Amino acid sequence: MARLADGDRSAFSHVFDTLWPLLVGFARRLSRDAADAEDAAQQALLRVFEHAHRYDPGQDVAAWALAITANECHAVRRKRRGVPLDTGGEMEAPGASPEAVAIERDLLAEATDVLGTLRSQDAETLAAAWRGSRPPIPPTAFRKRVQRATERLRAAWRSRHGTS
Amino acid sequence: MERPEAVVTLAGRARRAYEMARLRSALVRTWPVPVAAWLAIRLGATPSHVMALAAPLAIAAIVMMWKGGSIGRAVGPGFAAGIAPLVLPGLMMDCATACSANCATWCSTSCVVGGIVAGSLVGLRAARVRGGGVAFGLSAAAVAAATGAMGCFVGGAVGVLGMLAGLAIGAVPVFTLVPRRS
Repeated sequence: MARLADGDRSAFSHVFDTLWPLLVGFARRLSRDAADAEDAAQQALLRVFEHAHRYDPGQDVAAWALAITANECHAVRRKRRGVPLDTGGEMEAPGASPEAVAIERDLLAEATDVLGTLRSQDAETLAAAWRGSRPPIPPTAFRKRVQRATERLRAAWRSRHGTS
Repeated sequence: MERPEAVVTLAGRARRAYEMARLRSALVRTWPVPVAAWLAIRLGATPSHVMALAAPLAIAAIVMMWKGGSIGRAVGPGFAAGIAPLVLPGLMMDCATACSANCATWCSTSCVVGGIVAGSLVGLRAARVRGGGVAFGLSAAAVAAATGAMGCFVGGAVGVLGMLAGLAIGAVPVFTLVPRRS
């Protein structure tokens, strides 16, 4: 991403091929609805590339891209809520009160924010676990990594909010 | 492995978004050109001469910043270095007029001095660029020369040539002598 920010177009394919599966997997995890997830991930990817020239090399790419994806998922949900007779998505389920929807939205935003404070390896491990893919390491090692990353995520959440 | 059609289309859209964003950013960051042109005209340069330089300078700066890399990074320092030869001749002309001195001599001298200052700044920045800095230095020098020339038109062709000579005199020794970053 740093090379792309500097104008090195040869890095484009690599960044695209790395980010697209990550974002679409994360969006599926957040949206549940496959079509919404695809829309949100596409918008997020376009926004990532739109802002690529301003990318700060000290920033964690995965956390930054996932935060954009979470925002796009919210935007897609909000758009869906504006459509009459819409029943798609967990947050818009019949019977869900506006307060419950607002609380879940805030929780999701906070969770994304806390995710951004993790080390890049932890954020990537959690993202890989959420999208159901595994890096080329033994399953036991991956499970342990996910466990450790989840513990760090919980600790980060606790230190910020005082509760898990 | 071949990408699915939808992903290829998305990659194309992402690439267009990236290029358009770079272009928009380059357009915004070219603001020093109109400011420098206005300043040069205010300090006594002929508007038609200034415009003849400002238009190609703006286009070149946009292309360089859109392209990126070391030549893109050189544009900002080039503008900054060009301030000295841009303003010195106009200010010196005012001083010369006030003290009834020989305007042409004052102006030519200030162009050379401005060029040396600009060249030294460019050389210093280029020497600090990791992994060489020749492309950076040449690009920054070109931008500084075009920016400075808008001001040195006050002294005519002699002023512009003096500024270019000063730029080379300032840049080359500094670039050669300052210790490099590995």
